Amino acid sequence: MDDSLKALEARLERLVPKGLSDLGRERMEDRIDELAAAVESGSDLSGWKWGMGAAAAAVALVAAFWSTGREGPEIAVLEVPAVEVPAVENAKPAEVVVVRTEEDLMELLTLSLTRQVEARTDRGFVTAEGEEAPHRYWSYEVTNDEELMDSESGYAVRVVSQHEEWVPVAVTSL
Amino acid sequence: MPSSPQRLADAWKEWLSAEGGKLLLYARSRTNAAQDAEDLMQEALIRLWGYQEERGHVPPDLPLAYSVLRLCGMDHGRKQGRRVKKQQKIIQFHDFDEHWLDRGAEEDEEAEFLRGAVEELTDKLREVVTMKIWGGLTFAQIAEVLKISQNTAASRYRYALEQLQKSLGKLKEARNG
Repeated sequence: MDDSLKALEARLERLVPKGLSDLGRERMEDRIDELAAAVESGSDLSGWKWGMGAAAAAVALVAAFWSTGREGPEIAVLEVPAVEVPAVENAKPAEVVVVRTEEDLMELLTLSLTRQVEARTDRGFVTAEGEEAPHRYWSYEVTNDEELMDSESGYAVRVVSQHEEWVPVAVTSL
Repeated sequence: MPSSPQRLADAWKEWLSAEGGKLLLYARSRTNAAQDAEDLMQEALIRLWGYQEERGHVPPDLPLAYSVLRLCGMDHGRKQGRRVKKQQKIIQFHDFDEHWLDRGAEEDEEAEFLRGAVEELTDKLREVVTMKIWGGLTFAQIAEVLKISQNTAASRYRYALEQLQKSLGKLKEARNG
């Protein structure tokens, strides 16, 4: 880095960020006192364990879902079974059973998604049946590489899945 | 390592005092209003407390705090159902008078201009600058927080500085006629 950029860095460093407002600081300090007191009493205000369990369940569901993607050429419907997260210590009975639904699964943030189309194979012609036009089929090997994150827990998972896609191309004459 | 609730609370308050400004600056760049940024800080604090349970609830290191704050920011944006509008984002700094008592008018003007130029950077460039300059994070730590490579983090930083330098150059040219 040249000197002029270093000088610029130094100038930027002298711009001091503004701190929390008095009210904001007071609120955060009160929250810290509450959290610290909860540690002594043995309760957990943060819900962190719940989040960990829920995230693990979600990750497992995503992995299971994508692993089935190898079998067929397309997956249009996502069927996600309800999952019970094991009970955690110090949690109330009403809070220990967590059902992760399809909607919850969709709450995962997609950090990145790449789709790579690889080998193409000629699958030949399919002749017409009835009034349907004849088609030539091509199959493609597709690799999806997706990075997902559960925003509650911060857990991230990378899902790499491969599947085959068949593409029919109508032909006018054989 | 803090153990009693009081010592624990004191340690976190001390941490908040040391790092709160840096984190608020980042939170502010991800929200539309100062109040939202402080709410984001609250939310991040609670999550961080949970994350630190297995470490005896010691205050977190700064890269982890940035990561969690970033997640809270993403969540916030999603809940709001809109992307944060660039023109509404304001990075707040102290008034320079509070820190630079004997500065000439020309330097004051440049400082003010720089603040504006940082605000004008794109989100991706600004967050790297924020973490590097005011957070003091290394490129490796920034890369970890943003889930990008170190090279990308370093490139964005350098590009941001070049943009700022260019803006500053234009200001000087305009001033000198």
